[in-house]
Amino acid sequence: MASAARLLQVGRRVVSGWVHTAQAARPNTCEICCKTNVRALSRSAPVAGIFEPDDLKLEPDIPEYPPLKLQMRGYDFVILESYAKYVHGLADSLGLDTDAWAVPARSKDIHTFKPNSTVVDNKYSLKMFERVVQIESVPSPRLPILLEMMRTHAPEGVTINVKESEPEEEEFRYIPDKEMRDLRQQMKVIEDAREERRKK
Amino acid sequence: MWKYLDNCQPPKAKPEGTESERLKQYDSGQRKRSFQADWTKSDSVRNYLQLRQSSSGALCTPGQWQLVSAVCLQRQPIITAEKTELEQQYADMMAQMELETSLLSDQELRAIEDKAIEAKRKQQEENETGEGEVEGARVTALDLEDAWEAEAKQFTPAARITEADEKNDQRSVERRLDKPLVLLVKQTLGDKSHWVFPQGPRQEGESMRQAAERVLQNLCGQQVGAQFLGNAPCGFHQYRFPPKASIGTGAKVFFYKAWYKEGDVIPDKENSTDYMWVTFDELSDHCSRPYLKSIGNFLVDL
Repeated sequence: MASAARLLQVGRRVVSGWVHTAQAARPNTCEICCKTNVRALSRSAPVAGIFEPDDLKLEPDIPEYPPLKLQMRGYDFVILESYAKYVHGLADSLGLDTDAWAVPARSKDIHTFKPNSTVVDNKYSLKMFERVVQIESVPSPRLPILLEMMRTHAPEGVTINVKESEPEEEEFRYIPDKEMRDLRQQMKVIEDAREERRKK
Repeated sequence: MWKYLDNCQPPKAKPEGTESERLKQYDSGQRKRSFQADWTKSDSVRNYLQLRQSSSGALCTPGQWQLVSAVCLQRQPIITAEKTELEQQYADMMAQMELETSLLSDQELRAIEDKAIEAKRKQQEENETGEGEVEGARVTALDLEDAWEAEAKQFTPAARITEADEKNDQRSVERRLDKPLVLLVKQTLGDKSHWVFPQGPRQEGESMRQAAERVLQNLCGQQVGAQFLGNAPCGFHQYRFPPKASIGTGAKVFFYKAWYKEGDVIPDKENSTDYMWVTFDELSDHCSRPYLKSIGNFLVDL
């Protein structure tokens, strides 16, 4: 081992002609010409050094809101989509991390009756559409600006809600898998039958 | 390269008294002609150089500034604004284009079917006058449309121009429903009364936002419901007190935005004598120019 190292040293001297001493304040750097010895055998941390910045911050200087959802709901699809697009662009231009999605619409069937009877007068089928823009790392002085602009440009017929995410709302986004549900149902039937047989 | 950075010396500390040296270069002294005014003695230059000759001739200290919180209480618009002529023309054009590129809706198909059935029925009547097949009374598309129109007529929307608009009652919140209104209050600041946003100095132990909430309650009454937007102020204005009144150098006003929710404004007679709800265009009729300049930075309107 020692002889191999010696050979290596000799080899270096022959090839480079000038040995770069590695005794500077920075590892692997020559004091004379300040060049880093790029012929290091290994680029690992002890040889190359680690960059550790002194000013790493765990928290931002200005406190930030948790991830918020800007929920926009309305019966008029065209107006709602156009407004949601505007709000998404607005949040982007204010430098916030945004994500936007559509939530499945909720249908409402409304029957109006003739006075003092159960005879149906009119039938309406309405759909409440919903669009969500999620904003993250919002510095606290910036949210009022966003809300002000949203309120100024809000069209008629759109309801706006600003809140944190709720698990039921997240669940509602997923379309239930019919096949999976049927298979689970079948499994349940089989297991129940098995249990009954065991009891007998 | 590293050694140059590492060997960097910090800048040498300037010796004391360089402030007066800086002044000397602006003081022309003996070389002035008789008709040349000494521009260094003008107020604007002195302000810029942050100098003010007090009676003793010495430079003034930074001064005592009173911290004041003000509330910009906004009643947001209730109805959307009417389209301008250009906007209306564009909207009409886009509607026309949309109609021309669209396909027939159910209602229109129904109307076409009705026409076909009607034509067929007439033909049958002409051919066989005796035995006409009377089909069941079909509700035509036009019948439906008439019924819907009748139903729509039963609904009367609220008026866009309210009573307050007609009377031009500037104390009413119902005034201009399509524009944002902002609350101005007549406050006596010093010896004169000014139309300003309700403002008051911050007291010991409270934050600026708490001061703003307190000021609104005190000046406009407890029943005014407002939603403050955040703990950070949205604007800033600074003014000096007259030097005779020795209450300090001046006041620094921090504006807090709040959305009006409900309640009548009842000014307390001590600090605020009168109030009014004005649109942003009408502000220039009542406020001073430097105040307007500071306010204009944070008032948002379409």
